[in-house]
Amino acid sequence: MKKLIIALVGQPNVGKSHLANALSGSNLKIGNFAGVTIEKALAVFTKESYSIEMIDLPGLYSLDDFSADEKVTKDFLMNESYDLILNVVDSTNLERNLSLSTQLMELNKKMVIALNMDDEAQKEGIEIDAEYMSQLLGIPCVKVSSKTKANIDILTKTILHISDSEIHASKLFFSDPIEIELQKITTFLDEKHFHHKIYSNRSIAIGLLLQRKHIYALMHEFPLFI
Amino acid sequence: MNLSQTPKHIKVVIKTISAQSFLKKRLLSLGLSVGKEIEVTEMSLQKNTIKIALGFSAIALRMEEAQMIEVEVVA
Ligand SMILES: Nc1nc2c(ncn2[C@@H]2O[C@H](COP(=O)(O)OP(=O)(O)OP(=O)(O)O)[C@@H](O)[C@H]2O)c(=O)[nH]1
Ligand SMILES: [Mg+2]
Repeated sequence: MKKLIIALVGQPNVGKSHLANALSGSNLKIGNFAGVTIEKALAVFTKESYSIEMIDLPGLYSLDDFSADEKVTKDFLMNESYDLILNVVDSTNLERNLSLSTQLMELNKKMVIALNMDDEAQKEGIEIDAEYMSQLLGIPCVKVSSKTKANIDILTKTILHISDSEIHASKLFFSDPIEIELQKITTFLDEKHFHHKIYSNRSIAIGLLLQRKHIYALMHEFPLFI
Repeated sequence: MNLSQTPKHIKVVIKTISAQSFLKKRLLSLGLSVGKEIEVTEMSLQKNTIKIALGFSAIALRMEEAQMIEVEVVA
């Protein structure tokens, strides 16, 4: 049986824990991780030929290290091993939620977006074109409700499908002035024949330009700029 | 007018946010960005905290942060 580790990531109160419950059905085991002060819940269950481990991380607004519990989630995402990010978003607060999603897209991990609280969104008359959104982002987006359990099976299928497929570069684009600078940095790295096993040169350029500490730390190790 | 001077229940739009980069990013990740329509819905008794409505969410801000947010009444 193949093992699959899924990290559930999203802003606070978007329904990550409820979704973890809905996805894992009755096979849920919630336990604490050793060594951290803030709880990271873990659900283990099997689906098709997979043994799935789902890690329910504390909610965070961004990867900018604003508070201690946000740092727990960020440190996990940067340093631990997992196969896929399940980014849970609140469909009634899409714009705010997507600011975190774009940061997650910088991590070069397989990703699926769960447009949760679809029941609420429908009540409020919010219409999300999930198919178009999936195309735009290059990430499958599935409307779900962990309350009514709508589309939970489709979400599971999507997750399994993505974990079976090759990872492809995210479609993260910036405004023209930033794209021009990104191009310059990427070209510089290409010319130095720089290759990193996880990050593409474009991802590194993004990390440097947006002043991501982990990318600075990573690049610090290479004598490229002499 | 900045957000700390905005009366309750008046729709305003954010014009500028004059905060340092770290705080600015934080406000952005909470959904506060230029062009956003917001409304002050509550004010604490000592007037040091306000609650604002933004789309389907509510955010509490200290007056210090509210002063950094320039707004204009929606026409
Ligand atoms: N209507 C509706 N409510 C939901 C749905 N999913 C979760 N909720 C509600 O949203 C609230 C937050 O759910 P949680 O699962 O605790 O959210 P969370 O993302 O784990 O929150 P943190 O761990 O604090 O970041 C709860 O009151 C849930 O009942 C949904 O699909 N529809
Ligand atoms: Mg939770």
